[in-house]
Amino acid sequence: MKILMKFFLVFLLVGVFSCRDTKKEEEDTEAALEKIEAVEAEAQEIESKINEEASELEDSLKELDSI
Amino acid sequence: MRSIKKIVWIVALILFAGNMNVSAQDQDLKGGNAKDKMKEQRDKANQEKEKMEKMEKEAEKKAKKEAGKLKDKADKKKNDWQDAANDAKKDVSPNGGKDLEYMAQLREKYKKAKTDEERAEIMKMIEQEKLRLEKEGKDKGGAVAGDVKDKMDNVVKDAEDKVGSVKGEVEAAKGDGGAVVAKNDGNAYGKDKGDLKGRDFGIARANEAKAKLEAREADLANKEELVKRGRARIAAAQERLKQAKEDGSMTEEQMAQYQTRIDKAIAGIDKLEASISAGKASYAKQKASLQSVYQDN
Repeated sequence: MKILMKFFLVFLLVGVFSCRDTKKEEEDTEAALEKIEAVEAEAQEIESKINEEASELEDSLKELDSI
Repeated sequence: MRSIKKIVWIVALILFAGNMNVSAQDQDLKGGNAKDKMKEQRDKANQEKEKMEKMEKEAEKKAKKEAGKLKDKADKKKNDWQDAANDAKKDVSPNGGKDLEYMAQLREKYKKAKTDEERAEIMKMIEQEKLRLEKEGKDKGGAVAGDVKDKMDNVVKDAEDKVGSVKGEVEAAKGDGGAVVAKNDGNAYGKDKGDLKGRDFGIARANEAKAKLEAREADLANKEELVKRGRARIAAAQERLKQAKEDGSMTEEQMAQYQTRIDKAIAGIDKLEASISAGKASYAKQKASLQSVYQDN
């Protein structure tokens, strides 16, 4: 009976902890993904701005060739 | 006493089984919702992926077309300038044909000369004439060749800039596609992350974002190159304008117009340079932020 009880307790503990860990990990992952996406969105915005300015500059430089 | 113990154990086991069942149901429900959500996201991602692939193909086609056009244009210009250079060479040597006639006359005289003194005199004149023609030809030919080379350099630079910008667009399209796909079902850079979940997926996603950030940093270096080349082109244009001012070959109106163009280009280059510096700082900050997402990443 004692052995059965030990098994039961271990089983219970593993069950409880595994459930808790999963939830915490999911929350962490979600937070991390949100952060990563925010960083990527910002980087994308910067890149678009720079590309646009570079394109404008190229046009201005082309106009200089006719001088 | 033993029977009471047994009863307690049975009750405890029933409670445990019930608890596990409820927990499992809860998990199933969560799992079911998550599965539906995942499926939905996967469908969306597939659609986005197809869209991005299409965009990528279109951008590649555009790049090829653009590169072909530029090559044709460059070839045409090269031929034009080659012709101009050939014409110029023709122009510089004979001085309207008179120099050659003069040389022919001298050679004729040399043949007809009777004494050695006369021949020596004529030979000296021929040598002097040769030297003069050579010098004139070199000066004029060198100037024409320099001009042609400058123009060729400009065309090559233009072509490189254009192809570089189209390549940038293609890369950006690729990058966007990768981001959308990775965001939804974890497929990024051709690596299947479908089996990854939780922390592993987060780490993979952070690594992918870092790789993209590094690619963007490399692109900034290309833009810095553009700024450098742009400054050289502006300086050359300013020089040409100054020359035109001195020669008086332009009207006041034309000069004002060209000066406006130069000012516009300078403003553009300063703006781009500032954006590049700001971008560098932002990318560095973002990189640090990504590092802190998973410290042991």
